[in-house]
Amino acid sequence: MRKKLLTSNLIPYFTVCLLALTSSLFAADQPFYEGKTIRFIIASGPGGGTDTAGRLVARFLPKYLPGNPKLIVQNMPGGGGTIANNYFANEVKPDGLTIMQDSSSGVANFVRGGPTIKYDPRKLKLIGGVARPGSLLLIRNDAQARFTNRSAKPVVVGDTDGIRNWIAMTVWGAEYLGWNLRWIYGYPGSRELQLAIRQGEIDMWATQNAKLVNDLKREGVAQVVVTEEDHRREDFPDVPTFIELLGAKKPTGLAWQAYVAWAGAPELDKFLVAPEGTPDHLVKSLRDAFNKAMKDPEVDKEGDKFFGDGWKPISAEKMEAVIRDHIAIPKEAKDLITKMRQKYGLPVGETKS
Amino acid sequence: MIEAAMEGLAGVLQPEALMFMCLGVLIGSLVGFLPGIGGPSTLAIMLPFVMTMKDPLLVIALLVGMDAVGNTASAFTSILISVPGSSGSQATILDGHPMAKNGEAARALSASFVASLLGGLFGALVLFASLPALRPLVLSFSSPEFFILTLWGISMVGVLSGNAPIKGILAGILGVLIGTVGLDAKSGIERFSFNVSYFWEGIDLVLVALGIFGIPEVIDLAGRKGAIAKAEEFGRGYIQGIVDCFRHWWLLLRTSIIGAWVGFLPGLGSSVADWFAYAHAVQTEKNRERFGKGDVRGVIASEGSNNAKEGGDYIPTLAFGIPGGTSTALVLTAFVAVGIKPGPDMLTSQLNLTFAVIWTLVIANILATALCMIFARPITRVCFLPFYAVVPPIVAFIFIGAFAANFHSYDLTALMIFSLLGFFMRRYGWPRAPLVLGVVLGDKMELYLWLSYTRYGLEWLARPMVIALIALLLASIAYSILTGRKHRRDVEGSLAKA
Repeated sequence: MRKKLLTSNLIPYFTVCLLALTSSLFAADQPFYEGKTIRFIIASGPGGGTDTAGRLVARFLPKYLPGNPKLIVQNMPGGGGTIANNYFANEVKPDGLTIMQDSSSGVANFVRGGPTIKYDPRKLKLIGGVARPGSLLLIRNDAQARFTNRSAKPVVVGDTDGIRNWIAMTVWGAEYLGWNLRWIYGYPGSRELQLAIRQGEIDMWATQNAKLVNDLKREGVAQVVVTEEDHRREDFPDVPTFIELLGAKKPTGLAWQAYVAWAGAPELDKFLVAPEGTPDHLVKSLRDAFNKAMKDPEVDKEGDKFFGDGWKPISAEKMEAVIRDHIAIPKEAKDLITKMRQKYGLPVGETKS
Repeated sequence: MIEAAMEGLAGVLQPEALMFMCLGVLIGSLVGFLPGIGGPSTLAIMLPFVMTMKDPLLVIALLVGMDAVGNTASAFTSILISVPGSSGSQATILDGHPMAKNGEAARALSASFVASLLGGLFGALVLFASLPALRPLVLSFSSPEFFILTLWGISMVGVLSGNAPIKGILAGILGVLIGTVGLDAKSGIERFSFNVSYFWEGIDLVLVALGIFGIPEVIDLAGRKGAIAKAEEFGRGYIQGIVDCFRHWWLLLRTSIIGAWVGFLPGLGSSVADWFAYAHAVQTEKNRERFGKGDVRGVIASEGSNNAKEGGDYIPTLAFGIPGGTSTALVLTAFVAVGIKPGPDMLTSQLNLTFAVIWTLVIANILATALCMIFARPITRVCFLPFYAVVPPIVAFIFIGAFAANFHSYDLTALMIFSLLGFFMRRYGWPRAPLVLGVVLGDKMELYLWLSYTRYGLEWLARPMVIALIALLLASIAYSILTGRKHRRDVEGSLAKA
């Protein structure tokens, strides 16, 4: 009787335990992202490179994330990514449900420093990156004769803020190759710069947009001088790299270190991050999904349309290392960059020591 | 060319394309109707969907259709509740809202829609007519020419100041100063940002316009304890507004030309056209004392120009792939994704697609006008509702619109500051339009002066186009002064006779 009572009392226990075990097993099988919505912040306004890269990733990421979550894209423009980065570092919960498409501007602003910077890119959890092919430096056909003739009117280089990565090439070109240049900056964006080079208001400008470069060449407006990449671009095999152009005049030591620091690694372009403190297993899911998405043939095709043939995905580990290296610029190299900027009439800005 | 034109028309008239165009017009109208929710954000949301489409004609029908009509429905809120539905409809408030208060909302709305339609058609016509000269036309304006144009715009402050020129000029200067807030790209220096990154991108024009025009009117309405319209009537003005557009056809044509011109100059921005056109109307029309108090010509000028601008916007977009504005930048992204190649191909192998854009501009404008006309009567009833039913939703509307500018809590603080400023300006007789014009043009004026000087030194003053534009600028100021004097003499003469 007692045994029967015990058995009858135990049955509900067993049932509950069994149910609990089943449900926990079921929950373990259920992917974290199933039925959830990811907020995908883009650290820029609509249009432009960061937005295009972000939207490309955002379209394909849910397809490869277990559970196929929904994804909502939110543009957060302002301060070259500073507003989004500050918000992301200080306000966002590290629960794997908010991620951000950032760009090299966010890192550059951190290096530049100042009281408005309230984030550290090194603390972010990298998911992956997208690097477009390096910039191609263009010169108008009617300015070529003046390019290396310092007794002629200088060739006018146009830029938005005078501190872009490719500007380093022009400054070191002037210093070591005798390029006859002067710089004007303040153009609001590539739209205005494109118009300016077509009109002849500027003679030199660099862009990553292969289609535009080919259009300008075909129309007889400009020629490509050099690419900032370490290797010749497959789509422009005749265009030399900057190192090739420098040849024996390539500086060494601090001068080259400063150049590399300013020009930046070619991989430092657009990248996807999760907030500091995001659980490792969620970061791994996001990284795996990113890597799979980048192998999708449709992503490859779409990327070619917007970035040209030479764009490439960058792994999270590589991206992390690139960002760390870029931030760890020695003070002497920073000082030399400042001196070069001052010498050639470029904005110096505020530097973080 | 005729063959390509017919091919383009047949393309956009196929049932699927028409369906997408109707969808685009509906979305564009809704976005225009809701303040703060800009066309660019909506286009950005739609891009992933659009990129999966294969047929370029469907993409043109949807996106160009949507982009072409954003400024048509935006007149509803500008006229009825003094809240600009889009940045291109700010100047519409100046006469549109007083008309609504005078019981002429229907007339203002119908005049606005018909002016939008005719302006939009004119923009499409300009795009068509400019095809042979598309590229040289765009290349003829460099930084010095842009600078003179912004200077011309700023000189309109005097015209927009009414009877308080000193206050108007001071308000204009304040506007220019507000326009300087932010991170200066030229030097990397923060200006008036107080170490707050929110200010880096400058003060959003949407917030300034909502605060300066929207809230002060709401406070006035609540203070009057009546309805927006002082007289409860609708019928007679509806046809009158349509007649007005044809009666003032010469003004409509001139302001449409201004709109298309501003559109094809990449760099002047979308919010300039209506201000240029409005100021031109005040400067050149006779009997200007009614402007600002409910003159239908103010509505016609502003609304005709902002739709004509859309056609002009597509000239640099199609000719070079240089988008005229942020919206066209996103449309361009979608174009590239579906294989449309802006550039010389648009005039040769893809000429049919260029015509598809032109036809879409035409048909979308007709559809949007019909849609707005249908909804005009029920929506206008808001003017006759008692203040306690209208004020709370309008305030909510304005705050949501302001928050949608950047989704930042500081947007609401900025809105409140500008609301206070607008309230006091209204109360103490300070003209508000010059302040907004200063914000619109101030940073552009500084930018193009900087670029002109750093590029050309003082040589830019000797450029033929610059000399021609300066001559036109001086002539327009002289004309304005002379007609002002003549007007004063006439008034004094008639007073003496009386």
